[in-house]
Amino acid sequence: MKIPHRIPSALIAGGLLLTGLAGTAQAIEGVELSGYLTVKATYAANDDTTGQQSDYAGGYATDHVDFNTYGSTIGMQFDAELTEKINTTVIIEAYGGNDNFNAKVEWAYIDYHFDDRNRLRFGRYKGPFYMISEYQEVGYAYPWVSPPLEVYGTNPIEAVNGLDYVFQTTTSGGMDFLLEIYGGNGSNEAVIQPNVIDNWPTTPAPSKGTYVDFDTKNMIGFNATLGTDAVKFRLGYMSTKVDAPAFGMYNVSGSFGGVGLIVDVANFLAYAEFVDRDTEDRADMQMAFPDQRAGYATLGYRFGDFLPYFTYARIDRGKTESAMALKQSSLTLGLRYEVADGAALKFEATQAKPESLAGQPKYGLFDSPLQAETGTILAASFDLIF
Amino acid sequence: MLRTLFRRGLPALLIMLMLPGLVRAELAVIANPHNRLHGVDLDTIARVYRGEIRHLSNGVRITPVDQPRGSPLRKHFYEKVLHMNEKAVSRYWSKYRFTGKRKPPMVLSSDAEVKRWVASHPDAIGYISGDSLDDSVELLQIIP
Repeated sequence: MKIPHRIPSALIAGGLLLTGLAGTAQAIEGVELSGYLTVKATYAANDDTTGQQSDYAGGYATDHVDFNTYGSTIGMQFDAELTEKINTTVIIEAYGGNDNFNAKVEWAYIDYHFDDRNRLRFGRYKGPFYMISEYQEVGYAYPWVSPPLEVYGTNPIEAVNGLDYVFQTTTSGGMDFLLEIYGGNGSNEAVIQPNVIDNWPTTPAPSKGTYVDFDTKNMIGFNATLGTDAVKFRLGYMSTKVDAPAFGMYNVSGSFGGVGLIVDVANFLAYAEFVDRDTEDRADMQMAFPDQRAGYATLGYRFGDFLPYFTYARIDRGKTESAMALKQSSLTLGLRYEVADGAALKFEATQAKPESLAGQPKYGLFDSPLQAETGTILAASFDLIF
Repeated sequence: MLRTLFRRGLPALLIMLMLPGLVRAELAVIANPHNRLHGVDLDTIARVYRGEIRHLSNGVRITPVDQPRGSPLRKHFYEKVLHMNEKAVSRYWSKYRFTGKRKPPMVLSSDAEVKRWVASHPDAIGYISGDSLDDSVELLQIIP
């Protein structure tokens, strides 16, 4: 049996590891291999009010260019069709930054196809929390170097261990409709907010960029999309119970809701999304995971292989006003270039303006309040799929 | 006897009469002769290649196979049938493939491989150069 060979020659030349694994896959009957790679470099040199360097978004960008950065990823997906109705998928991923490229089985699930419209998936899968959450690691799939951090930074939940029911159909008018209902639990990591560390009640406080474990239980949510490949609307909501031992919190509730829109007509491209993180109204939860509302709009236009784009993003307080809530707006100018079929090079320059909420210092997404009104973040990435 | 000749022979004769046309045709969408795919239209074929459906409305399983990335046949097929260039096809699959919601067609290495695969897999559908067409596969559509 033949497996698809979608591996560009450049990649084969580039990685012995990859070709080695591809060779292994070819030997396994009926197993299909595909994958994605993102190499990312970021830079942000901004002084805080004490004259020290202030890193951006939990170590996403610092004042030294480092390729072992947050968002550098290699993922390999293995698919096998066991029967006409049963499929299995395993994704092995190695992630930069906090994870130091330690490869692990990130997602693994079994799919049961009742028919073309109804499907049940169980195992560990990427949750459809926000519009592009399911392919957040696949840089090639979207215009940006990183999905807007104001929005995507509000949800640190990586995966769901549980069930996922998907109903898909095409209406008589040619519109695709998808309704997905999912539930389960998960173990995750979240970076502690810098303003929380600066207000830590005991000494010594954890250092900035420290990650803490938290568990999600009784997650239940839905994801619905309606539209065509040209215009697609998205609506979703998920609620969960959270155990965060680092904060001494157990069985606290939180929810994530969002609406979104993707337009991809002729050469015109637009993404827009608004999300609402609403956590339980109690002092410790509002300190650790404060209510936030965030959104962005991206407009772009394809000139052949070049896609210049512009993003406005914003994060603000949510339903309950928390002194730890973050507020900022940012403008990003970016350029995506299609190097080859399945390979893209991207550059991004962001100007972020942290703002004050409830008389608190202006952190925004920075590690500490800046001297200047705004901070600059540069980022570039090379994204491949195979 | 005469009836059998009409049932089997006449279509064969018609195909033979069409053959000079087929030779000039750039691309032929083909299926396994044992599959019940007669009359499948291009719109349905496009939906199959986008991974939207795995079965026809009559319940028959249909599994697409693809030509290699960068081959002129693949470019021609996607432009004519799915109205997408190859980079748009890659962008499309990058959004779906890793979410587990849709699965791209299996890629084979050549025209001959595609024909062999389709001839030996009852649920298969593929496309080959019109010049490669023979009676091991059933012709579904000609793409000029």
